[in-house]
Amino acid sequence: MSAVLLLLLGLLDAAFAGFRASNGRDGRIRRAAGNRRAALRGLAHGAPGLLAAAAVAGAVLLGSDDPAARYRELDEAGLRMLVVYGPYSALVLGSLACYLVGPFRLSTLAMIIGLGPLTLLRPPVVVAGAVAAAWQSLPAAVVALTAGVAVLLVEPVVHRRWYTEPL
Amino acid sequence: MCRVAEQRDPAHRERGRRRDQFVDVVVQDSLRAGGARCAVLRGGAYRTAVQLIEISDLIVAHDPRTRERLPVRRADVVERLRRTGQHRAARIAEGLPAAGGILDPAAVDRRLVAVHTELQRLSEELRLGDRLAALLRPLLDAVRQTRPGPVRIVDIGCGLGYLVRWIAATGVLGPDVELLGVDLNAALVAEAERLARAEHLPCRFVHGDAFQLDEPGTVYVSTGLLHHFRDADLDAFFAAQGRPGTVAFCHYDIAATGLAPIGAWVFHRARMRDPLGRHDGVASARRAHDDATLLRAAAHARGLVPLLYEPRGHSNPFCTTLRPVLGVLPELVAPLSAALDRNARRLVGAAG
Repeated sequence: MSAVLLLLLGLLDAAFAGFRASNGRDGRIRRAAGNRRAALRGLAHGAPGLLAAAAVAGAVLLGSDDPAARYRELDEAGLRMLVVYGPYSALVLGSLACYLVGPFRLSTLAMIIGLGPLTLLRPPVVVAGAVAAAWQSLPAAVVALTAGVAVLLVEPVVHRRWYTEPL
Repeated sequence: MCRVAEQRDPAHRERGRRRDQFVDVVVQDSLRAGGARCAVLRGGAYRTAVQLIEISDLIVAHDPRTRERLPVRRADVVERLRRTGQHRAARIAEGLPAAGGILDPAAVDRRLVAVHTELQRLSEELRLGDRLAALLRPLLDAVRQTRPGPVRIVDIGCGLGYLVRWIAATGVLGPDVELLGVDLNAALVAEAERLARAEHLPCRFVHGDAFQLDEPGTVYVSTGLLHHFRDADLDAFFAAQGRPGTVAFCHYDIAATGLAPIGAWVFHRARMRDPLGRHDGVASARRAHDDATLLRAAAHARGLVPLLYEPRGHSNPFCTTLRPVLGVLPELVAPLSAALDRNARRLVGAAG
């Protein structure tokens, strides 16, 4: 269960990372199509990395003498990750909802105390989640490291590939 | 006037006090003439912000008469930044491409267009268009009540013309509004024009001086421009808008709060990639004028009543990152207050 939630969170984060990678490069006013394309590019780059993390988890399970115990160990590590990522995601989504549907003063507030600082906090939060997962579990550490690197690479890779210059 | 100079030189301080009194009298008279029913802001000390320089202000130079682009020596830029203790900025300037010691104008233009495109993202995220429209709509309602005919809005120092293009794209101010963006930087104007054409937006952009157009603006607007002017230049900027045909101005700039430099650092770090843009963004927040300074300077626009909307003490600094200084014809103050309805409480004048 924790693996599915983490995968969904990872995919959502990849879409946002693609969107962020494109931002500040297209000066047009109406660019909903461009934003969708950027989010899809983020997904396209995030999904293989997350699949790689899933493959590493599968290999860890298959290589274990006691797959059931190893599964429980990984699941507990996933729950520890969710303890870190869950509140952060809730704050991001709550701020985003206020930003998108609120009047402009509430939008500004959501941006100033929510989305802006939370973007800066994202890399340390990803690392904190990976450290929490890796706590006293080497197999989980390998999976978490793969997933963490995959998640953090999406934005710079998408930016470098498509958005280095203004469009 | 520099605060340090005020403290050291009693004559200087006295001149400043007399000048403050004079300005306050002008402001009060204007308010009476307009029959304004709005709160009164008492001016504090005439404060000049830290004398920081933005890199982008140094790397482009124009002949003030012909507006011809002038060569800029990179070493001069670096030296000037070092003199003000901006060593990180000096290192950024050292990295700018140059040939024979002269900054490459094409590379500088590309860099500025890229920085301004990133900067537009901040304007979008802070809903600057909505913020401006929330004030310009009632202002134009007031203008239309007293003055028939089309309204010409001129965005001074428009950069990539985000606000003009946003208003044109949304049609938020109505069909009888002519939208014109003006900037001294030809590269930014060309990019603004290209972006407007790409989306078939009904607006124009002109390379030049906003106060030397064939026809003056009915309403002058700007965003993030005021902190570039200091002292006499700031007064002159407002004085130029007190001219026949102009009924109002509305200039948004960073609200000078203790939070502004911190917020600017967070946002430019989170949203901008170019170190030049990051540096200038934080410098802008540190250079922002306080409310009293803006009100005093705005009083130099002859015939227009200076007002502030959402000044300190009347707004939450987390919700109001930019706030405007306005000037309106005296006969527009009452209709503007009426059109603002409940929000009229956010409108503040000045008093001695």
